Amino acid sequence: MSLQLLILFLVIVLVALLGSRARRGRVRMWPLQRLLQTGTPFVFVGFLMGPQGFGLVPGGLLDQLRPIVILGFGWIGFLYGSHFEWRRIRRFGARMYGGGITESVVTMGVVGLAVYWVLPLLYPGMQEALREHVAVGLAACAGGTAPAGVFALTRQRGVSARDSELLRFFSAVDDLPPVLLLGVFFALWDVDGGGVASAPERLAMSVVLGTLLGLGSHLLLPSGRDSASHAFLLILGMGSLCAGAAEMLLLSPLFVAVLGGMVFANLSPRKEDIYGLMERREHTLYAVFLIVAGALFRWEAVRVVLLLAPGYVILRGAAKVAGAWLGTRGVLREGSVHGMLGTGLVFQGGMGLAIAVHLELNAGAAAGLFMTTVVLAVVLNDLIGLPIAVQALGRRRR
Amino acid sequence: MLEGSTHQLVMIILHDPAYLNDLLAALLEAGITNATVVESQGMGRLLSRDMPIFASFRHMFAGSKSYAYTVFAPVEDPSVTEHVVALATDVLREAPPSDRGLVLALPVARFVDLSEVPGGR
Amino acid sequence: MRLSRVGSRLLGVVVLLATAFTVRVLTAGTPVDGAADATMVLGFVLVISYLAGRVAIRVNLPSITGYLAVGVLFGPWVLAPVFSGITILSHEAAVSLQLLDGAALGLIALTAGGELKLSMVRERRRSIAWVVGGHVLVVAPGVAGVMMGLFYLMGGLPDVPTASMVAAAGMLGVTAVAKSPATTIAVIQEYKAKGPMTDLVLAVTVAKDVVVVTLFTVALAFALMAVEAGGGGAGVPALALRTAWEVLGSLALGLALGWILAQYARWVRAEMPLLVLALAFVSGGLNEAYHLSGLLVCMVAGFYVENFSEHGHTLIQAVEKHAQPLYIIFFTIAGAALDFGALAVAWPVAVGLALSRMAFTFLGTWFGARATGEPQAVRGLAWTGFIGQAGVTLGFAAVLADRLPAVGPTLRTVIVAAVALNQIAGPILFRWGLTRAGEAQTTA
Repeated sequence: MSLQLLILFLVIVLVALLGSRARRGRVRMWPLQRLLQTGTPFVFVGFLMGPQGFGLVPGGLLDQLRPIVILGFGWIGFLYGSHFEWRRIRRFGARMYGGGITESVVTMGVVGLAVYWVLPLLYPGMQEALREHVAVGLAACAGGTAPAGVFALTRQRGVSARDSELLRFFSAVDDLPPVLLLGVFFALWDVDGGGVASAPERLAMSVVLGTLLGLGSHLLLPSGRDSASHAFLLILGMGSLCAGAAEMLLLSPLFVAVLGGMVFANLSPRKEDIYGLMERREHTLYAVFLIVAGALFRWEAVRVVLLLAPGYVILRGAAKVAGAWLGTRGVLREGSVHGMLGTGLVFQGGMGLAIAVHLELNAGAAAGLFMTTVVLAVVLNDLIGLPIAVQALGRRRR
Repeated sequence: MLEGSTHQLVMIILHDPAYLNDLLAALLEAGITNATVVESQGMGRLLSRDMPIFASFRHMFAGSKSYAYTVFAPVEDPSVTEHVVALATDVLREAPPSDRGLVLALPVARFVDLSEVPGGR
Repeated sequence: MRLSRVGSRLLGVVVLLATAFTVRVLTAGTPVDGAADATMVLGFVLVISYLAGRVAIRVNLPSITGYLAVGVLFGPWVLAPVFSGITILSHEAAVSLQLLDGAALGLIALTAGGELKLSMVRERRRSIAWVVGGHVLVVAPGVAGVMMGLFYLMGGLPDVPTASMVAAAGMLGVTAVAKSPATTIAVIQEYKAKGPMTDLVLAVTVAKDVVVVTLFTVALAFALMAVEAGGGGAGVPALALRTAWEVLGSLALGLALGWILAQYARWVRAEMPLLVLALAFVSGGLNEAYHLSGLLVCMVAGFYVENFSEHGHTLIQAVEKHAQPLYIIFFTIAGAALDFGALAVAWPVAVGLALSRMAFTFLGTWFGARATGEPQAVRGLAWTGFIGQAGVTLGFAAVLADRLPAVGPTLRTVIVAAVALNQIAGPILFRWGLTRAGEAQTTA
């Protein structure tokens, strides 16, 4: 096992080396370099090391890494939730939120229904419960937009200011419906049949646990002088405790942590320090997640690789375009917004990937389906998303 | 009011907002009471860090992403500059090297303190 | 309503304790996801132990004493019986956190090596050798003698022949030489200690790690011969070979790892936290496979990086910066592993073992330091740095229980009980020693 660990270590060194080279390069880069800037190489490394690659990460090690992954859910959720502070939320009108949420919900609806419809064709005889599980899960992974991709796009010349603002706003809020869906879904859907309470009770427990996380974090960090790293340690501990607790109770740790982050941001005077600290380390955490995601990838799901994943990418893209069109034209009533705005929202990753990892770790009979589909989708969207969006949104007459 | 003086302009670029208060306290200790603080962003950080991965709602707001501060402090006596450098070094010693920022001092060709101009009310 | 800082913290702790206990009660009796349990325990430990460390500082104790106290309190011995068996730091959770625990130890060892400066080692090599020699030649036979006397006073061990008793006493003497490098490093870093005594304690700590592994293996070979009366002698050459492999292999791998780290620090520098994490897992995994000493590998790597590369220092700094959570995890788990059940059973022998170990450690250190003309303070106080015992010694105890039939399990109980005493006394004594010697730079 240790030799494998050593190789794992060397491979990480190599990736970091490549990554650092790419980052020192020019801002405008050719596709392979841009690829290096995205998360794809980490996924690839994870895949190479995983059971399907060279088997450097045996199943046992992945199990041992699970506490870190669960802690990661707590962190990601808390960071996401802590952005939503009331005095910031109200700076945007209700219609903006309506637009963003419409985009996300339409995407989830279209993707979820399509997956639900296509699954029996790919897997004849699939059980109904499993079919629902996979459809809901893949829908939840599809709803959000990776902000990193959007920020890269809006920095390109030619995208109008309003389009940029809407893209950024949509990508900032469209992870909320999937997280909510996941929270409810996990409360209703008993993963192993070993749940400790009824569905409404479990939903209530999620809410209580999230509130306790926010409240506890606030109480543990009274205003005054703690060094930043100590404050961070306390938040990390509190997040880890609640994410672990949620997972133990078969609730969604992401949902719990998002709620906790929201409560914290609206109570604590220390929130500014905490965002900064968490955000500064999110890159490392994301790399770990990408590597784990890669290791969970399964080739043997050929039907997924050849049919489901490409279909998923195309359908999700189309749904995003439709959802964004509905959100901007229908809800926001803005006729001047680019009709293809949704092409700028196809980027996948970030929260969507965290959701996928979470689903995969609790997949039961659906093992391999989530990760294989989403990993392929993340990579494909990384590769083709930006050029397509630039093409669609960049050429617009002023 | 002095013209063509020995004044220097000390600029401190601070990459970690957590140290701002300590730094200002140190300036006060050095006898500087008229510093100006500007929120700023380093070029490298603009390029690399402003790429939120998981959450970006706060990035919608200008001023919510002040990763750095720039402190301008006019100094009359060059020895005070040395003192400031020593104090800033001390304050930021604990910060990770990449977040320490830098201190620079420029000669000032002309220095007018408008509050000392006679006249008016 | 405005709460004071302390009041707010206390309420926060109440929220956290209530959450953890409630979850434990709700899931009692149902099969639980071990990783989720471990994550919850990890969070619990980070918060509670951190705060306990702060309290310890307030009452002039090293913060690791606070971490250990949390481990003891929420481990299986103190609160668990009160709450009808609901243990927060359960054994299962501790096992699930093994990877992190091993990683913490590896990184602590890396900083230990990184604290050693080549120039200092060169300058003080005679003192280092004499003190290590003093420990081997005074502590091991001294403690063994006292233990033999104690066994004799107790009228011998039931059903154990004299030869085995001598072997057992001898093994107790040899394990008494072992100490916890992590404890020493943690206290030195907490008090930012600097000075001749700190340097000597550090260097001896690292050197002893090599010596103790060798000594233990050789002694075990002799003990096996004595116990099995001739039959056990056959394994000696193989054992010697294994020891040589463990020590030399670890040294070589440590150098290789150090070189890689140095190149990384020079050329790449990106993703430093990820590298540190990966490194920690590597060292954690080394122990089991290949019978290498992860501790030794990391110490050597740290020493190489610090002394033979221009940029390595930044790497050691990066590790030290993230050291606090590592200490918290490591020492809280160590506290939870302290076996008070064993102490209750074997306390007379354990107290004898711990006290004689302290006395002979003092003598051995004094003797070694005097022979090389170390100043009075170092002669009289350096021994305080060698008292703490934890993982390494517990590992030895497990080997003894496994390899020595008849006396092994008894030995383990005695050693484990004595470790509980030593690990509680060690950090407190060392803090006192450093302060008395005037080498502690901060009191907080």
